[in-house]
Amino acid sequence: MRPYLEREVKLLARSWETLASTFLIAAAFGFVFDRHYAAGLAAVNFVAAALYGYVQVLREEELGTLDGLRLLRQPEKVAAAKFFALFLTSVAASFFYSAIYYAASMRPPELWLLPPTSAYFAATSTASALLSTAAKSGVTVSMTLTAALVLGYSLSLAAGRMDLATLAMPLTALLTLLALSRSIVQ
Amino acid sequence: MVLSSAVQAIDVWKRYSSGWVLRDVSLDVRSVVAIYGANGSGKTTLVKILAGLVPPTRGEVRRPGRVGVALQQPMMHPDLTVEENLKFYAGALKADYREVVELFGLEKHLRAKFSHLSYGWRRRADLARALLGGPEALLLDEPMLGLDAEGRRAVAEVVRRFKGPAVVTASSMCDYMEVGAEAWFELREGTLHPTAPTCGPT
Repeated sequence: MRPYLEREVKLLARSWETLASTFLIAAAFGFVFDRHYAAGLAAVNFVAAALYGYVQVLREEELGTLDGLRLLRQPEKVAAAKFFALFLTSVAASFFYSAIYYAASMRPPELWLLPPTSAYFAATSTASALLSTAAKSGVTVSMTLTAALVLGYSLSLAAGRMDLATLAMPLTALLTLLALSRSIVQ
Repeated sequence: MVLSSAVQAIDVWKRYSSGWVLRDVSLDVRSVVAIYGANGSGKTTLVKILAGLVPPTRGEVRRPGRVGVALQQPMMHPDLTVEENLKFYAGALKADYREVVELFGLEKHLRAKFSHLSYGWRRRADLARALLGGPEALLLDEPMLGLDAEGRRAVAEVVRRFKGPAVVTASSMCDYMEVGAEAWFELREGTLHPTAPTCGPT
């Protein structure tokens, strides 16, 4: 698993332009959503996950490098490593957003919402991007799928209804991604 | 040469939205086979189907567990260095990459970002990747395209020495006379025809 994780993290570090734009957007959301932390958190995660879904998955398909990963015949590792990279980015962007939110509103952010939200958005975005490559479609289909999949979670998050069913969504999304990886990576 | 594995295509057909690309292609590859064809004749599609990267519309493909594949579009990531790319694949395959580095003379380019290399060196590095982990079969799509004389010699040497089934496609027979192919086919309008290698004015 280690080579896969190292590769994704290196690729993440090399896409500094996308990182910079994600953090700028997160900062802007910190000011815009200074009255509603949870809604801003959903927005930040949507942007971060969608952007990196493109960088880590769809761009690789365009470059032909995803074929190299397919030939290794370890789709679960590919999916898990890509999820990890997206999760890392979403968490970092969310922390940055939370800091700006705190500075702008002087209200403490509800940081406990951060890990499940980033995990859910990262899992759905990875799955959407991989499904989109399997369907030979592009970024629009991937974004549409992600948007459809995160709608329910985002509404619960913004409404402050983080019950057990909602909190279970990140884990079920990740397990679904890993279970489907054999069909959608190969 | 006694071989335990083979790459086989059985009545393979492939259709894209533009029409049929391959029609009833059958191949039983147990040694080095060269497939010649003009641009757009379906060579890359055939290699991708043999590699399992593209499903055939009809028919069946059998291949050994570990196949080394190099397509015209390299599979190494442009944002990583040559060494980072090779290290990743070597790590995933639990292989050592130093041998292939030496084989293709990549020592001086290991630290270079893959996208900064010339086309020829990118091809060489990607061929090195395809050989990692001792593949049981080789599928090379126009491996000599864009290579200088030294690079072509290295590829011909690798294919000649390979002890297993290998498919090498070519759009020019002249570059491939040295690979030691035991059979030649021409891919014409989606069908395979046995042919004899010729090189010279036509």
